[in-house]
Amino acid sequence: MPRADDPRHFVIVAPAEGKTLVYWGTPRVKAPLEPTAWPQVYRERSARQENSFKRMIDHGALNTNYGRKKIIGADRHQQRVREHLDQALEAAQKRVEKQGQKVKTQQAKVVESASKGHGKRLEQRQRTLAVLDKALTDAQHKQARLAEHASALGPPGKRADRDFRKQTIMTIRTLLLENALRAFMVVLLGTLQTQVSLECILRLVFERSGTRIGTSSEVVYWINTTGLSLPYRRLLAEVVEGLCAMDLRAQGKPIRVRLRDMPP
Amino acid sequence: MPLALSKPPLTASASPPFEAGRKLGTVEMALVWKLLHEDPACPSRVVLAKVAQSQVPIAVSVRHLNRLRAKWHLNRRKGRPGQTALSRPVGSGGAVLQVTPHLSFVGVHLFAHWLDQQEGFAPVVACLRQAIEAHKPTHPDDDFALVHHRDQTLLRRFQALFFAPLLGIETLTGFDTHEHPLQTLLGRGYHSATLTQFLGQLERIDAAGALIPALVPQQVGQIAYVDGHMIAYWSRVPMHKGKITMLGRIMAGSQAVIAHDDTGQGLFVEYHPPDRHLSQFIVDYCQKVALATGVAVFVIDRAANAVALARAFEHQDFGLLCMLDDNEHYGLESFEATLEETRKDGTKV
Repeated sequence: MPRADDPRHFVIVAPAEGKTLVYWGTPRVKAPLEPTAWPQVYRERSARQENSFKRMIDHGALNTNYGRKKIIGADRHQQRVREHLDQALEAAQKRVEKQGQKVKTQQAKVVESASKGHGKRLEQRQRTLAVLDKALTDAQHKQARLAEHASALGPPGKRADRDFRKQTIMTIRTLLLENALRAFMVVLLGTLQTQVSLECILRLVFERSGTRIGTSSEVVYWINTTGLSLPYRRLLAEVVEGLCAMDLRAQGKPIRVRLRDMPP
Repeated sequence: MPLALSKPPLTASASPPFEAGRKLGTVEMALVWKLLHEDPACPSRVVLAKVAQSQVPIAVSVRHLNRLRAKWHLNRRKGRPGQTALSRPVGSGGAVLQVTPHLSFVGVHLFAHWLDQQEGFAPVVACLRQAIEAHKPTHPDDDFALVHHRDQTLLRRFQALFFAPLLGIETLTGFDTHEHPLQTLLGRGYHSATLTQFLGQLERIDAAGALIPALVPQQVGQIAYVDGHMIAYWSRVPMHKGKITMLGRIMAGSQAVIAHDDTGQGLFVEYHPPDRHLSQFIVDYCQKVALATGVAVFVIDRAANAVALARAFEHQDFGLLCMLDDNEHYGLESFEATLEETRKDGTKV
């Protein structure tokens, strides 16, 4: 059933096998994106964000907490519980009143039947009164229990929140690092024939030790190849060529990168 | 007459071509040359001892070294070394050669050079400078080190924080406990105390807000993807709790809400307590992203599927693309759908 005032547009993808996937968007999405492209755009979310988070956890310290400051404020958990209990108490109160009213009406009917000398109807009405009595008792019991819970909550409490300022600065640092690494990879991959992942470059080039020689005309970086298997050595050689092709410079001097075989 | 003065003067062009030989490689030769260049009167035996201290394995005799010295015109006369006061290093006016025999994280150095070439830190320093200048009039009594830092100091300290994860340093105390190449990378090392102080001062000037523009590229994509990331936090103080999904526990922590554009560029980040659901602040958050970047179409995961949210976005004139929760429908029979496209694999859209 279409809901009134529902601004959503739906795109349904029914694959030959598997479950149906339903995407929705507001009318504004239709302007830059064809509705048939919505599933693809949505699917890219994993590559853009989920994988990015994993990378940032791995080499950007995204999961590290910075700063210990705390801001003491109202206990929102207690507030939520109290709001919930207040609503429940209000409903219980209404129910008690309603049940009390029903019991009174039924009692009047029982009195009426008794005065008129009904036989079977009196019995029926007494039975109904008993049921209503029990319902009233239950409602009163529930109300009492809720009131007990509400009083057990005590006075408004205090609870701490983290001061996120340092954490935010360091996460911006991580995002800047990730953006820079992405841009670096785009340039490096432009010089390579082989597809290499950022993780591979980090392990193969970034974390390797070596030597630096700076002369008056150039700077030479030597990367140790100790412990590398032959395929990785070949890959590293290609990456080194790519780095040389990037025309890196240090204070105006060209940077050359070379491999260095160290004795084991 | 001092021995060193009899040597031909070393100029910038005097650094010899280091061709790897059978016994000595280029790096070893460069190291020996550097030591001799610093002290040309140094006996060869002492040179070998110094090389051994730098842990570069060299298996050559004193005689072989003497041959090299003669070739480089850095040999000394026979006999005992003269008085220390009399031997002066040749070409002490400018270093012709600098050798760092052991350099860790070579790739990080190359990456740093590339960033320097791209002037990657210029926007960061500009943003920090702007934040400092904005802080001064509002807090005239504040007088801490950051307010007086030169741009160079700001840059170096931020770079230390920036490169830390690539050097395997996650927490700032790692600068004291891990061996790191900041000296060769930035020209000076830092201890955690300095960087902790720096971070604290950045906090005082509210650098987070000021640094957001440094994240935004010149050309932003049309779409922004938004997602939350929970991090657990351990404390003895009672704190607000939420479902830290990676651990599957209800515990204290923080919720980073991060926006990326359609090229994967990180655009914006904001932190929220873990007990607040994304749907409670997503509209405000998207307003801030739109203000900072100009993007008005957002893609959010299936956690947000309420009609109310769609209305709120529509009211702000924002686009929102989302996925309907599987529990909200029973497949195709729940909709009156029109077929737009049948793909090669049989998928109907």
